[in-house]
Formats: sequence, structure tokens, C-alpha cells
Amino acid sequence: MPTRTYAPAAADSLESAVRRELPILYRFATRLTGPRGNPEDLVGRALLQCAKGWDRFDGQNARAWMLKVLRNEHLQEVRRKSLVLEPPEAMANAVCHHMPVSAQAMRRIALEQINEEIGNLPLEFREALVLCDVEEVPYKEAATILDIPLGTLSSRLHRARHMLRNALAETIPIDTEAP
Amino acid sequence: MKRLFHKHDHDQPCTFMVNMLHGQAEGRLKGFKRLYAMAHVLRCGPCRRFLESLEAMLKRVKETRPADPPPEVIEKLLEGDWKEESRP
Repeated sequence: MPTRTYAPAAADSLESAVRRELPILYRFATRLTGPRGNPEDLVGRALLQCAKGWDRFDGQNARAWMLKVLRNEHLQEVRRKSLVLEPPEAMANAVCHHMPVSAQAMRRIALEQINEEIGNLPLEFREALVLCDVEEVPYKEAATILDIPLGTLSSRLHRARHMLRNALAETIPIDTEAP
Repeated sequence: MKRLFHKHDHDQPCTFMVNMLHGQAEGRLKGFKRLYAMAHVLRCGPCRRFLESLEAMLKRVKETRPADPPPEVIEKLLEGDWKEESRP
């Protein structure tokens, strides 16, 4: 397994921090809002909050701080609108075993299915899985972003993986070889 | 040693190994812990299958990372309202 590549840089100014961290902010927002959401809007609002609170930032880790602001902004929106986070509609019978499907198509379907099942996870588990397993943010940083102790993060992550494995076991055989 | 060489009558990984197997799948285990985990999975079928399936799943999960925003979205966000707010 490759070593983790995450390396937070020291923040020099808000603008340089925004330029550097925008891709991960956008990707995390995409996961939080789901397929029907508007990640651009969420990132825009989070950046506004970052600008308002920049003088309170301790200068330690801009990425963790900005991701935390983004997450809080999302949670506030969920509470404000009393949104019910509906899981995306299940992709029924995504893999048809009676038709010849190319390996590439199988792989794409499998990834879509995994994506969908990640989206179906409850928010607290999805956040942990996305940060640690998709974005490869170190545990300590992820715990800071999610505002939970390390042990809780670890437990949520294991639970999220367990739930995902169970969900996928019914649709996609997860074996050691890629299709 | 008793824990290293044992037989299962079910298909679940050993409870005491689960955390270590997650660490091994992530590539986090080092030194003795790593050796212990590797020795254990060589002898324990359910733990070996659990580890293999976890490693395969994590590999797939990484591949689902969403694409970075397109350049026009980046530009739009970089020129957003926050910039006004951040000006002294």
C-alpha cells in the first residue's frame, strides 16, 4: 500500500490557503452534499466563513481548519433547512449477469455502485470514511476536522467500512482482483 | 502462541485481530505488530479473507475520489464574496 501523501502546508495568507486547498474542499463538499446537492454553493459559503474567521485561525493547519469550517457550514444548513438526507435511489440490478459486459464497463459500474453505497452511509460514518479512506487525511487531522476523539474516529471508520462491505457484498463481489 | 495457531469454527475474523487487520490493510502497521499480523493471517483463514477483502475494498474506495473542480469553477470560487470579506 502506498504511503499517505497528505502534507499540510503552513498557511501564509488566506488567498494562498484557498488556492491550495480548494480541490479538497470541493471534493469533500461533493461528498457531503450528495449527487443532488450544490458543492459549489457550499464551498462558497464556507470560504466566506473562513474569511470572516481568518483572524481567529491559529495558523497551525489551514486544511484541517477550512475543512472543519466547511463541515460546520454543511451541518448548519442541514439543521436550518431540517433537511432529511435521503440516500440516492438504489441502482437496482446494476450488474446484469446475463449480458456480456466488458471488464472496463464492469469496473465503471462497480465504482458507481461503491460511490452510491458510500453516499448511502449515515453522515457521521460517511465523513470518516471519505476523509480517511478516500482523501487519505491522517487520523489526527480527521479527528480535528470532525471534532471527535481519535478513538471515536477509529470506531466510526471501522463501522463505516463494515457497513460498506456488507452493502457491497450483496451487489458486487469484492475480491482481490479488479474485474 | 495459542492465539497465533488456532482453529475457527465460524467465518468471522478473530475479535482481537480486527483493529490490527484494519491497520494492516491501511499499511499503518510497523515492526512487531506487522509481523504478528502477517503470521496470524498465514494461519487463520477467516482473518486472511477479511484482510484480503478489506484491502480490495479500500483500493476501490480510493478510486471513487471525486474529480477536482473544473477550472471555471475554481476561478469563480476564487473570485467569490469571501475575497471582499477578507480585504482589510
